[in-house]
Amino acid sequence: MPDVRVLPCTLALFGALGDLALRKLFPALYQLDRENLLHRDTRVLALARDEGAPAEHLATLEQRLRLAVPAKEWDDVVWQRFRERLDYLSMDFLDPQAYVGLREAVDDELPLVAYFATPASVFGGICENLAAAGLAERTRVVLEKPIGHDLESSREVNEAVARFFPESRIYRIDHYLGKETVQNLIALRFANSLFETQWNQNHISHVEITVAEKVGIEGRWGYFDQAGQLRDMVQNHLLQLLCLIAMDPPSDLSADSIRDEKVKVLRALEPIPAEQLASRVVRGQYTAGFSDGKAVPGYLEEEHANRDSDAETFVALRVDIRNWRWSGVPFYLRTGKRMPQKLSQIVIHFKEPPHYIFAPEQRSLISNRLIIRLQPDEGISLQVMTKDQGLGKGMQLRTGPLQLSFSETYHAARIPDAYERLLLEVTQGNQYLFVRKDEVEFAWKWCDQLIAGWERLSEAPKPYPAGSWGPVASVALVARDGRSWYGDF
Amino acid sequence: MSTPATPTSCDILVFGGTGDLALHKLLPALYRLHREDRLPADTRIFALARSALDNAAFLALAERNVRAVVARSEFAAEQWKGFAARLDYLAMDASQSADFGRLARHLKSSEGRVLVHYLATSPSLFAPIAQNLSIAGLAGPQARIVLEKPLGHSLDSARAINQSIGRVFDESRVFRIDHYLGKETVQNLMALRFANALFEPVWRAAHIDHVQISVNETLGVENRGGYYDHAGAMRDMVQNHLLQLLCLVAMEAPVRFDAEAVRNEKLKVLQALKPISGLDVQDKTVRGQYAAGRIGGQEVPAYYFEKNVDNDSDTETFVALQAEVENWRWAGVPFYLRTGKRMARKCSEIVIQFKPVPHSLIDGGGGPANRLWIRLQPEERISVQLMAKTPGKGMQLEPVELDLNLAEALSRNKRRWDAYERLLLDVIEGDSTLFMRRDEVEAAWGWVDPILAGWREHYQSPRPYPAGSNGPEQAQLLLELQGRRWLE
Repeated sequence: MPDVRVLPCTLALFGALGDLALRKLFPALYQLDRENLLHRDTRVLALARDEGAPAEHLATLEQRLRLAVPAKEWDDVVWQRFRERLDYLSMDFLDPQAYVGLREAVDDELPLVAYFATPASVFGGICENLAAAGLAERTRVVLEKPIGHDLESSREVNEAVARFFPESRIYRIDHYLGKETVQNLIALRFANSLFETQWNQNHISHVEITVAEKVGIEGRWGYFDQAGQLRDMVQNHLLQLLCLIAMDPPSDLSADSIRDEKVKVLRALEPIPAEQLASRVVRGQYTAGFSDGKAVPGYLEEEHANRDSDAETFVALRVDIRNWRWSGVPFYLRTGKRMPQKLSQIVIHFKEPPHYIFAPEQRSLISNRLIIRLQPDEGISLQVMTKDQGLGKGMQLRTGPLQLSFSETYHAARIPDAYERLLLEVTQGNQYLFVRKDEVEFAWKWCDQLIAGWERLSEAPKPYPAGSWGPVASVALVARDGRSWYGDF
Repeated sequence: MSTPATPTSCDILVFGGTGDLALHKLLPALYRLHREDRLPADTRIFALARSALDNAAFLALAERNVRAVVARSEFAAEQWKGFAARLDYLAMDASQSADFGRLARHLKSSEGRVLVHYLATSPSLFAPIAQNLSIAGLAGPQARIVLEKPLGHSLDSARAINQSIGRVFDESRVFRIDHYLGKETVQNLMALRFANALFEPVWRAAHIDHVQISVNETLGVENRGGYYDHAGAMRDMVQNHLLQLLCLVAMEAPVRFDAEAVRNEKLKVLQALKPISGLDVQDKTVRGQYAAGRIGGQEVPAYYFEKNVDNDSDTETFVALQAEVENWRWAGVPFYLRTGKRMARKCSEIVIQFKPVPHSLIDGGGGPANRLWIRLQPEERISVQLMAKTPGKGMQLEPVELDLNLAEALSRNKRRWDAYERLLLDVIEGDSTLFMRRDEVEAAWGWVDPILAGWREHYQSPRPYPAGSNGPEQAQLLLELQGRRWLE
């Protein structure tokens, strides 16, 4: 483990009894404590609306934590130490009077980190109340997605927060940026001359980015049906991955150098004109099918379903980046629920050699790919052509993967969860794994024109059976350009 | 050249038929080809040597040697019987033209049959054999001649051999063997370079810092002391195997994958090699000779105590040198070649060391630049070394390897075939892509001769190195003076 400087703070967790906090944030904090990455003076304030004895809520928290942390990683000594850091405070986040108690609970000597695991609609109110209570000075605020549902509402949220906090103390979370392999993208691209030399339209034919989920809606009706897959996944995770793949080298690893380069990519995204929506974008909605061999219901048949919903659970689209480096290289993005497997993967397809000298019937085989697997089984694979074994006539070729599997190479090392890394970076004051205001807004601006186009078309999402790779139209999307999705079927 | 085709009838004449090469390499390879039905249906194999053996005695000798070489599961009595039926032995003296008349009569009619004359003999016999074959009417348009190394001892002697052979056989019917070219991974080099768009843009001086080519053996000279003491590692290994590997790494893409196109490109590399002559040999080359040491826990003797070796021999058993290819693609990129006997490990390997990234984003530098490793033996593999993020917290980098172990990747059903099987099949089919052309051989000697002359003129004696080490310390200096080091 590399030496990491550990700084103290008070973490005020708004929405402490919500699903995100119990499933992700507290387990991550526990793990950080276990690895001695929480300063001994760091305190965690669990804040929620629920009244009642703090001990009761902390007991609930302990129960949930034991479920979330793998048994072999549970240590009662660590838990006791963690428990000593914890306090529970009941409060109504929109009631200014409630902040008097918070004010008293906060140690003036320690920087405050306010984590908003709440709907974005209350972000502004919380910020105003923190400021009114004298708690905004030096405080960092951490914002979970979604930040609005379009450019306008996103701006409202950002402006409400910006009234009280400068950008340098706002940390917008996209948990994908905390994943090990996403961070490896930066190392892969900028510490290896072998790839950077060829990272442009001269050598790359096209790029695929897939984020597939096996599960369906899982009870998130209130939020998801209003959002759809584009807002839920493309606007944030997929565009962030696209930025990391497509960005120019920053001059250093500071937050703003990296985020400046990402914003340049977002600004270069070509809007998809209304007349091209049908050929460049596919929306889907899953119907009844099979998952792990069991019958599963369609989206409109899920428990508590909105029967006439036209929310999309699948999006595939072709994105073009209008800049010197990428002009002419399509980026195919694909994301969906109820896919055959959970898979997040980036595939860089290199162009064919300029002149082919081997047996003509093998010409279609020839192409190199760099496959970056984000999950499951994080790893990197470089597909090269090698000679097939045998005494056959001429030079018979085959594809061979040069690969690195993190689980094999680093089998002894535990790869931290995304939230562990992100929480650590917040406590350290590092912003490069967080999303900047202009990034969010350019991403919304680009998505908004798509959504507006769909609304004008009034086209229903195409059905696809649960357990498939999405509507047949998504295959046609790529096939129209003479290509196919890597590894499907 | 016309497209190679498999003939239906073939006579293979092995001169030196009772020698080590024939018994340990050629007969096992031919047996395997027979076993897999890859030989033309009507193939006859004639072993020719001076030993006064009758056919039965030769067959017994052949069976004993083939059994010793091929895996038990590959040897079956029925198959051996079928193979033995193809085999014939004729005692003859290859230096006597009268014996060739007898040979011709023994072959009976060779009309319409491909004739393969495999010269597993001393190179001093190459010219007389070719001449005698011609006199006996065995060098017609369907006849091919296969020459094993060494092809001469210098440019002059190589030229003399080539001229003598050339008077009888035109170039398209001469097959000069470097068995390295028959190895799977050497052929993979061609596929790697020209079937992958990924590598070509970085395969040049702008992106490559240097190339290392090593062919190291743990064995000593064993029974070859008499030949070896006269040749040395430069003639035995560098002039052929290592220069061939250098050609495959450095050559331009051929217009087609055929014999003439490929060999034209290799020749261009040899012609672009910067000469090393005179005092340059002291800066650019290192000679070594192994002293007593330990390998695999066993004490082994020094070179000059080996059988048939002169006690005050100054023959080199190790060479390291810096070659330069003076052309547009490679100017300024050193190619470090290294070969030795009684080294710590048996390893044949090519390492392409790329240049570092132009600007490091990580404090404290970006670490080692990328490398491409091509391991020829043991355990054929290809590996790319990259920088990746160290797992866990923080943004530190560390080298990782993306690798393909060719032996593992290939189907377990497929048998690992031997270089000689590939090469013999190509001779029968008339495909000379994996064989050396006359001008290649002469260009290689043309580059090697001035180094040998420089060593003599400047009394550059081999440096001793203990058996089981990585060679003389001066070999490290060769790279260290330029801020580099041998990798493994």
